[in-house]
Amino acid sequence: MNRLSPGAARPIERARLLARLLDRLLRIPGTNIGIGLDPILGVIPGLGDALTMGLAGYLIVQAARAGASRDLLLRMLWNVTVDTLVGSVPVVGDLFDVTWAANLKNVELLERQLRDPGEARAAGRRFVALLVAALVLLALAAGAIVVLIVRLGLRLVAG
Amino acid sequence: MKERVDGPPPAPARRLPVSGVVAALPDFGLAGAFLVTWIVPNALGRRVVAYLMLVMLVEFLIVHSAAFMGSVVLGKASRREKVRSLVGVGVFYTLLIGGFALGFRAWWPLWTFWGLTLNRLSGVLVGHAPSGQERELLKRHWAAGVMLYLMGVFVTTLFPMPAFGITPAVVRAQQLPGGGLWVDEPQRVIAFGCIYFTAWGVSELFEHRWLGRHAMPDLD
Repeated sequence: MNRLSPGAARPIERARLLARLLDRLLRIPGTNIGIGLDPILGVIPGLGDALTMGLAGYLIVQAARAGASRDLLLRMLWNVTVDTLVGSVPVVGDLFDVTWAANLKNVELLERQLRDPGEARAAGRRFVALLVAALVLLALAAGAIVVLIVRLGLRLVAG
Repeated sequence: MKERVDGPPPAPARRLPVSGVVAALPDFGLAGAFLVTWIVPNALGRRVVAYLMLVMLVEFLIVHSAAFMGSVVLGKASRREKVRSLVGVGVFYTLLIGGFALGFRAWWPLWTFWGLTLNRLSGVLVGHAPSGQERELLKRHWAAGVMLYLMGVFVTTLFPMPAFGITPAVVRAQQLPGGGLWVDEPQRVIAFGCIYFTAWGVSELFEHRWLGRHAMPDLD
């Protein structure tokens, strides 16, 4: 197995710690289900989703700094998109957060690519900037979903 | 004797109320247990590190479930719908806790969680839904719990934590099942418990002063 380059080791170490903090403080023995801060942050409406999104975005930027390819960064963005959009649905999303460990998946993908890069080339700065813009849009979309669902819920409750 | 009617209101008592001290004692007790275990892991028993890890897991589930169960209890649904929702959410958490209980071979987290859930259910069944100041107090208590939990985990994860007495040999002796950051570096969860329960104890002690400064409006 190839070893990580010295330049990539530090961002990877940070990303791994952050992913474990968010998704895997403790894992249920014999399963791939665990608890992290992501589900608890998810129960704080708005602010929690924004914070989760910010931390997931930071992790993707760390991956770009470590030398992740365009394809990999897009895949990581997809994992975070699913996590954010489904996770922003009250109750269902909070339960989903327990099972879908997007950040941990992303770190595993990153480690795999950096150990065995093949023909993958690191993404350029312009691409990373576009990715950050996409993350911001995603955060806004998640916020809009929360507002819509809460409004709908209030309307249903009010009859 | 003539009563004085004007002049500045009397200054609030500086002494701590007995109720605050009594409420804070279990928190300080638990914080002490975490601290002792951190320094001398076998002082309170051979597998206390694993036991205290479960305490923080149960605390996680209590904080997390309180958001859903609280919104059900405080909501305007019918009694039958509330009971159905509470039991449904309770079953989901039972699966999670059951998984951990099976792995750790300790069943007390299940009884603790269901004791708490039945307590929440009883409030719905006998028709005593919290209102006014009680309701606001519950919300503030939950918010404080979430903030303390989040801050505690962030601090003990993002900063290096000394292992003190929790050596690799002690960790092996715990036979911790599963995986995760807390299993790989148990000193983090032990430090977290120590900080978390100390903070709760302090907040219980000074809650009356804080509430006095931020008087709650009666919403009902």
